[in-house]
Parts: sequence; C-alpha cells; structure tokens
Amino acid sequence: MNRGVVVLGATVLGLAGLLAFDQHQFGDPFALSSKSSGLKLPTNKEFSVGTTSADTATVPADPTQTQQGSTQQAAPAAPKVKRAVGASVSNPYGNVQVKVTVKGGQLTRVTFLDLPYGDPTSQSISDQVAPVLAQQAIDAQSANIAGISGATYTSDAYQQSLQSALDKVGFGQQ
Amino acid sequence: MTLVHVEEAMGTTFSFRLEPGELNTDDAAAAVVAACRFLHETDATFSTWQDDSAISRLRRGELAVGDAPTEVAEVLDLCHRAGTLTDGLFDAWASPAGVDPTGIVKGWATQRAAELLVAAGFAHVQVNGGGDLQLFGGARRIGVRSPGRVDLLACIVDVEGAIATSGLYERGGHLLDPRTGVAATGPLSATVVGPELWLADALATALFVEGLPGLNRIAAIDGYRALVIDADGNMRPSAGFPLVDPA
Repeated sequence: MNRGVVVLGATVLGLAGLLAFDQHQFGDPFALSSKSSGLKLPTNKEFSVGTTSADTATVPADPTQTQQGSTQQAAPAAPKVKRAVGASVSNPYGNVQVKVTVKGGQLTRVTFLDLPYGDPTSQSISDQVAPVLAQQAIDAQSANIAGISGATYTSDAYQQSLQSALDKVGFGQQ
Repeated sequence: MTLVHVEEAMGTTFSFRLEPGELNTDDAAAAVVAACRFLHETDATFSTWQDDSAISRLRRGELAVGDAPTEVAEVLDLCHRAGTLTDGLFDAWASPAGVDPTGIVKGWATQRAAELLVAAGFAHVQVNGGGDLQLFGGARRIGVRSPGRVDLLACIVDVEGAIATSGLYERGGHLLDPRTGVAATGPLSATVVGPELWLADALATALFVEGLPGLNRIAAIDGYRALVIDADGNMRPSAGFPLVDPA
C-alpha cells in the first residue's frame, strides 16, 4: 500500500546545492501536532530555486490526497509518511546509515541500518552510552526539534547525521 | 514557509534553515548565495591547509596582521578574548607551528553568515556549521546528539542564540590539553549555549578539555550556560541550562 506516501530522497549525495522552499510540511493538516493551532491552510506547494537535488522525488501516490481545500475536510485521510535514508559512510567509528520516518508531521522513527561498531573506542562508547540515552532519544523524536548540535565535524559525518535527515524531509519546528 | 539550504564549505557542512518573512524569492536566494560566498572566502583566508592563505603566510612571517584581510585581526582578537575567558584552556598560540585560529573560525564564520542573513531581511535564521548553530529571530528546540551514536539525541535544549557541542566522537580522542600536552580524557561531550557562537564554540572546546569543573566558570559568563555528558553517560548541566523536558 502506497496511498498517500511521499518519499524524499534515496541518498544525500544530491543535497549540496539544494535550495528549496517547502511549504508542504507546514501547510499539511496532518503535519500539525496536537499542540499546534492548526490554522494554516494546506497548500502542498513546493518549488525550488537554484540547483535542486537530482535524487529527491516527491511522489504523491494518490492524487485524491492532494490538499486543495480548507482544513475542514469531512473525511480524515491516512497520515502522510515521509522517509529519508542517509548514505552509508565509513569512518573511523565504522559504518552508519540513518533512516528517519515522519508520519503525521511527527518524527515517528529513527533507525540506523549499520551500527557504529568495529572500532574499540566506538564500541566502548556505544556500549556505554546508547542504553542510557536510547529512551530519551526516542522520546525526543516527537519533540519538534529544529536542528542538531554536535553532529558533525566532517562532511561524511554530516551525511550520517540526524541533521542531514531533518534537512532532507524538511521536518522540524516552525 | 521554510527555506533549507545545505552547503559544503570549510571542510564541513553548513545547514541553513530560514524563514524569508517578507523577502521575495530572488532576494532570499541572493542572500543565501552571498552568505555561502562569505564562508568560502573565509576558508580561503583562514585555511592552514592552503599554503597561500593569509593565515599560512602570517604563520610563516610573510604577512603582517595589518596587511591581511581585516577579518584576520578580528578573529585573532576573539582568540585572545577566548583565551582570557577560559584561563588559557583555549589557546590559539599553543602550537610551535604558529598561531592557529582554526578552533574559533568555524563558529565565528557561522555566526557571521547568520548575521548576513538577518541583515538581508530574513525573519528567522538558523545556521548549523558542522554541528554548532547560530539562531536569530526567536528560540527553537535543538537536539544535542548522543555522544555514542550519531543518530540519537541525548537531550533537547531551548536555544535563542547559539549552541555548540564538542565531543569525543569528532576528535577521535585526540584533543590535546594545552596544560599537559597529552590527549584529553574526560567527558564524552560538552555543550555551551549563549548569545554568540564564536564564544560558545570556544567555551565548548575548553569545557570538553576541562570537564565538570568548567561548568561554573562558563555559567559565570553573562548569558552562557553549559552541559557536560560525563564518562558514564550522565548529563551534568550548569545552573540555568535550558534543558527541555521531551515529555
């Protein structure tokens, strides 16, 4: 079932040079959290300036899901799902690949397809910290964040980072 | 409406998140291009990797500060101020190879790029320079990454100005303590929030070297607050650090 599914970007390689206005996620009534006022009209409008990421695809699989009216729709539709997968990049700490899922305007899942294991230091840090912070991290995903601090020193690290994933789906605090 | 732009510059990745407000599309795009041009020019001036950069010529004694681009004197002055505020923990003159302002340039450039965008008329500006952010136009929630995993958050912070994080993960354990000359061992990461990124960045670097004892020093600086994630993965905030309860 792909109804109402929007998939953005298979890799991050095309992100450099991306300059895109995106009203979509904020105008979508399903992007409104329970704490939002919900006053914005849906526009579903996206346009780009400059060099747009070549591998970013917007796929409204079901035309009936396109928002053209007011927010007072009678029939609720399935929440839209956005997914973004970062590139798998080797670094001194091993391989990491990040996948995020945004559903109903909320970051519902962050998974990683490769674990940063392999290096003894990384192994130690991961073993030590991940269990302590995992629950906090899961809680944080619904907290409407606008950016990530401490993610990156190298460009490779950026590609692995949650900031990169947020940039790709255009998700975050308005 | 939010404008997102990602730019490779200065050996790292800059992520812009902008609300144009009344700016039209052409002016907004031109402002982003100008901000990115500034970042590339800054790299050309301050790169210690490029033999012909102003900073490299300065280090070899071929160029006087007064003859260099004015940004050089400005950044070196900030290096002095950071050294004073950290009791020498931040030291751009520690290397026998000569002055190295690298530790302050990225944060300073990120802040300057954000200021350029504010001057251009954006209603809200957020620039993330390799994990250190400068915001203008209102507070936002910013996640601090887990020291152990790049894809997880350790906590969420309410940020109105700047936030910088220095962590073991980005240094490979090779950040040197200028007092001992050996690799610093201590916290897993150190985060500083405050009005200006050039200083928050320098303070985070110093805090990462110093660990828990540095919390009070930073909290004593007007407008700045700090957080250490210690070797056991526990969060140790200074008084007033704006942690957000994710619940």
